[in-house]
Amino acid sequence: MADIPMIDNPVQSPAIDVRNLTRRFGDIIAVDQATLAAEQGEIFGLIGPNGAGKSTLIKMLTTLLPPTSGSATVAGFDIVRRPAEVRRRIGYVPQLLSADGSLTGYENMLLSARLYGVPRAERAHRIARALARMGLSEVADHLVRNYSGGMIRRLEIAQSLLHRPKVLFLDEPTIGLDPGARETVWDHVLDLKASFHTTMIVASHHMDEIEEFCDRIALIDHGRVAAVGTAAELKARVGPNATLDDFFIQLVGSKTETEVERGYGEVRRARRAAREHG
Amino acid sequence: MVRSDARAAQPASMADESVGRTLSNYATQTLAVAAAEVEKLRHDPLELFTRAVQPALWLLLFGGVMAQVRGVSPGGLPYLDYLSAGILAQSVLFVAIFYGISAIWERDLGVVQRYLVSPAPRSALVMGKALSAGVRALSQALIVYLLALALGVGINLNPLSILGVVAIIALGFRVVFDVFADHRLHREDARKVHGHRPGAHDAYLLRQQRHLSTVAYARLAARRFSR
Repeated sequence: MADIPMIDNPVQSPAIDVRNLTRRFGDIIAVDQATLAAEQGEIFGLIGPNGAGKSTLIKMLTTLLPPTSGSATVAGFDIVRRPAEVRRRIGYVPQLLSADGSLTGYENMLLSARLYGVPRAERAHRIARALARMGLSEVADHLVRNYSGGMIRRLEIAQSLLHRPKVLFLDEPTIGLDPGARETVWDHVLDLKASFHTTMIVASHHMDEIEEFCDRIALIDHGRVAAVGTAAELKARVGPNATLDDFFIQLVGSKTETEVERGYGEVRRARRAAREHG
Repeated sequence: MVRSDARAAQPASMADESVGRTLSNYATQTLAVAAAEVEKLRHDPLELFTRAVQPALWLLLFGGVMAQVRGVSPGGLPYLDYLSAGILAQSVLFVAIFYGISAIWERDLGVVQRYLVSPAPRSALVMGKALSAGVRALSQALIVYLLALALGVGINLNPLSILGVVAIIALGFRVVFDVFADHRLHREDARKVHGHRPGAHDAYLLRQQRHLSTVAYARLAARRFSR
């Protein structure tokens, strides 16, 4: 994958530029006038309580969901007017299990390569390199249902990288993983940043990993962007020895349970995803 | 920066070439979805045999018994001939229903999201899914054909007729009806993604549509099956 540089042009336009993006579901405002920007090559963390709108924001940016109002560009293209161009340039690792357990790792990769129009002559080569990069070469021919949770996540990331996206969206990439597997997933994510300058948008509930790995962080609460900054900046708002957890609780309050979007079905699905991954 | 290289990638003079490439991409994407299904069958061929149990039971056991009883006289046809066409239709229909259910399971996981976020057109995904349903149904039809042959059922062995059965099962009405059914599936999916529960009525309609479409095409296939 290293043979073609990801950056065609050194001019720094924001990888993601979100302006007053809003999404309503009936009376519920899931995302409310969100405005933020992520630079190229940045790992941008999204934190916030359950149902705050992180996933809805990511779904709009990945063109899975049309916004109610406002605008956004991803990799330089408008998400509403040029969704096809956006899709070609992004990778998305959903919160839910997205690798097919009845296929081998290689076959999952092949499916992605074909869906993304990777030229036939390059497929085998690119798949082999992506699998090697994620440390999955040895198990490429095993059925994915026999993978561990961490291996599945790494495979899903590998699948999202075949077309060399400029922006990669990771929705709770370490949900349901043990600390060792989390570490490995993050090692690979950091390696991608170092090698390809890929911009990454990561939603997570693990404050420790967000603090350690993200260049900048946005706190989303009730659909609004409540704060943006580096971990150090955000912590400094609370006090000299504050942790990111303290900041989170101070801004959101400890009663983080908003019952708005997170019904029984949602919890069931998230748990199932966690189980499938773990 | 991306804006400028997008323009460079599609100058007006290359319009024809890009139409060709779009079509070939479309074919690749459709076939990719179907190819994945074939791989699944290859990994788990046992599934083909377990699915064959039911038609085999019907034809060998019930068919044999009922033929002895002579309680049913299907207009001068031997009873097994009469039964086999129905079994073909039934097994193909069951395959289609099971396949429809598995598509809904996929939606509950994130597999469908992976499709939807790719640059592949929605219709390529639907076509690919319909093709894969066809592949499974065909494997089932093959088993019924073999069983019927072994039992000496008067099958219409005209190659054109067999081709007709194959074509109907593999593509035919399945595609046309699935486009509607899956359109609904996608809409439902979109709503679910937002955190809104799909209306029970919609889910009911979706199921009805799927069933109607499978019944229609199973009957069509059965008609070509027997002499």
